[in-house]
Amino acid sequence: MLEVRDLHVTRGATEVLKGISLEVLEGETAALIGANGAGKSTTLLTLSGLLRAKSGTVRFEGASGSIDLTKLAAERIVGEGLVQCPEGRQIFHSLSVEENLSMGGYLRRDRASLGSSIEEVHALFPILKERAKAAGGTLSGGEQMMLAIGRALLARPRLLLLDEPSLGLAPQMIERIFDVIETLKKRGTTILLVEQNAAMALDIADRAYVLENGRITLSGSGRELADNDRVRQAYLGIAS
Amino acid sequence: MSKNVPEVTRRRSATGLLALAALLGVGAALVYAAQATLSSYVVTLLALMFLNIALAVSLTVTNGFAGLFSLGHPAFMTIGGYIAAVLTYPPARKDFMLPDLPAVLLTNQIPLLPALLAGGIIAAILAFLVGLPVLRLKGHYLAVATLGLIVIVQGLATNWSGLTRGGSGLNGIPRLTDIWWCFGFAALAIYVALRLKFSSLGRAMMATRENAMAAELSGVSTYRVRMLAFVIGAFFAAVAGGLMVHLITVVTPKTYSVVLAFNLIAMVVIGGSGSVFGAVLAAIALTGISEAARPLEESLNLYGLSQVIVALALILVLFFRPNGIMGGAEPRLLRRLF
Repeated sequence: MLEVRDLHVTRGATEVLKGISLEVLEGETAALIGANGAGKSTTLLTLSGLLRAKSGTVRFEGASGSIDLTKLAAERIVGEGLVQCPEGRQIFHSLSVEENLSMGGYLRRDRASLGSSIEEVHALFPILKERAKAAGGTLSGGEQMMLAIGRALLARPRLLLLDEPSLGLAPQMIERIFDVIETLKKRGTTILLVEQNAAMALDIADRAYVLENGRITLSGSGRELADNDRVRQAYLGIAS
Repeated sequence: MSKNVPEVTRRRSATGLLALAALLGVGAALVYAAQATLSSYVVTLLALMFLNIALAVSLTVTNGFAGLFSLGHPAFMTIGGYIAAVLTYPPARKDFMLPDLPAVLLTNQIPLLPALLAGGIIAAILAFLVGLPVLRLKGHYLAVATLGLIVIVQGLATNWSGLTRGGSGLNGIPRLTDIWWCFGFAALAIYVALRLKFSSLGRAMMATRENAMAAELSGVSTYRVRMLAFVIGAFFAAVAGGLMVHLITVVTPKTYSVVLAFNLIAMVVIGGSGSVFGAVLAAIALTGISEAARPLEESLNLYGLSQVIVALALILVLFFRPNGIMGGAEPRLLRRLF
């Protein structure tokens, strides 16, 4: 579904990604873990076309076939089905919950099925239906996260990118968000999850990558990485 | 929302259309009554107020919906005003007022409506050309660029004497505008702005204003959406300029200046950035205040008093209601109609 080859990205004078390669197969959940500043968000922003790669390719099985995303405009990438739920929620504060959700379906021309998609999101997050008329900015952090995920789902992702969905949330809310990710996974949504909360991410992931200083230093199944000594020490806080 | 059940949508929009027609009818009746009973001075004042409403509402699209900071309205009004004036001028007068016009313009005269549209379209093209580089930048570069545009347009109007008669401006422009034109144009501007606001394009404009990155990730081309908001505002400003010139019958390079840009922005901010209804209220209030202040200015020899009042009103509103009177929202009734 997604195949990243030797991706180099610079921000300002700094080379943030020094040639990373990774892949995500259809239907699986992949996790990208790493410390602050390792380049996780840079990776996702480049995939979405908000940052431009210096070199490398990003092959994606999109709506119009296999394409290279590195030259595509951001709105075209969303249209191809690569949809990102950005770090820090980034909802539209003064727009209502309802309007926030319909922004997710901005590119969809099938108005009828959009209605049923909104109902699906409401079923997943009932609070979004209850608070449909409220301004997005009045929601709690956890509710905003649900809104951000709901908005991304309404764009009908073939591949859903989740950037730090647990960031700044209460432990209970993190559990709920991961439950939802699990549900999406069971429904067959392909997911690329970026997390600092490595324990939960590795637990859910079929495939995982460790990003350190702009390079992929380890990869394997979620299980393998969770058992790896180095990962246990560096990211799971377990002394071996 | 209305998308779920098409049948209900259709019925609702039918009653909505009826209610809109009724609203328009009430407005027209009021205009008719005003025209029949009030002095021609007051009627002209009301016509100006309608144009101010149209200007404030069109600036709401650019500055309110899309969150751009454009000061360009006076420049677009000057362009629309001069174009509409030159195109509608009787050839007999052109001979001695503007003898250096190109032959086509010298001998021909067209009706008001196409002249207004010509001004609007040329202003829209100019806005597009200004937006092409500037709207790609992040931050308030548009304010600087449009401020420069005012100066450039004023300079052109002053020095392109063959077309504009230079600094002395054009006078004796045929008075082709009346209160009905202004009323109709204000109604059109309000209708377009509200339809836009409750459409997916308008929502994309507001989303771009709120969070450009998230808008991009939702599939919005923020550049295109900003460009549209800027060009639509410029078009309406130029048409309003054309109408105003034919109401006051005079235009000079200095008629529409930065002070006007300030007044219009004050209307948008006081009304509540992004609220069409708020912009209408503020336009009515500020037009009224500056007219009421005029006799005071003359009798007390306090020229500039109305400017002070407008500025003071702006400061007070920003202090007590930072989001403006309406805070970006519309009254519930209007929301149901659109």
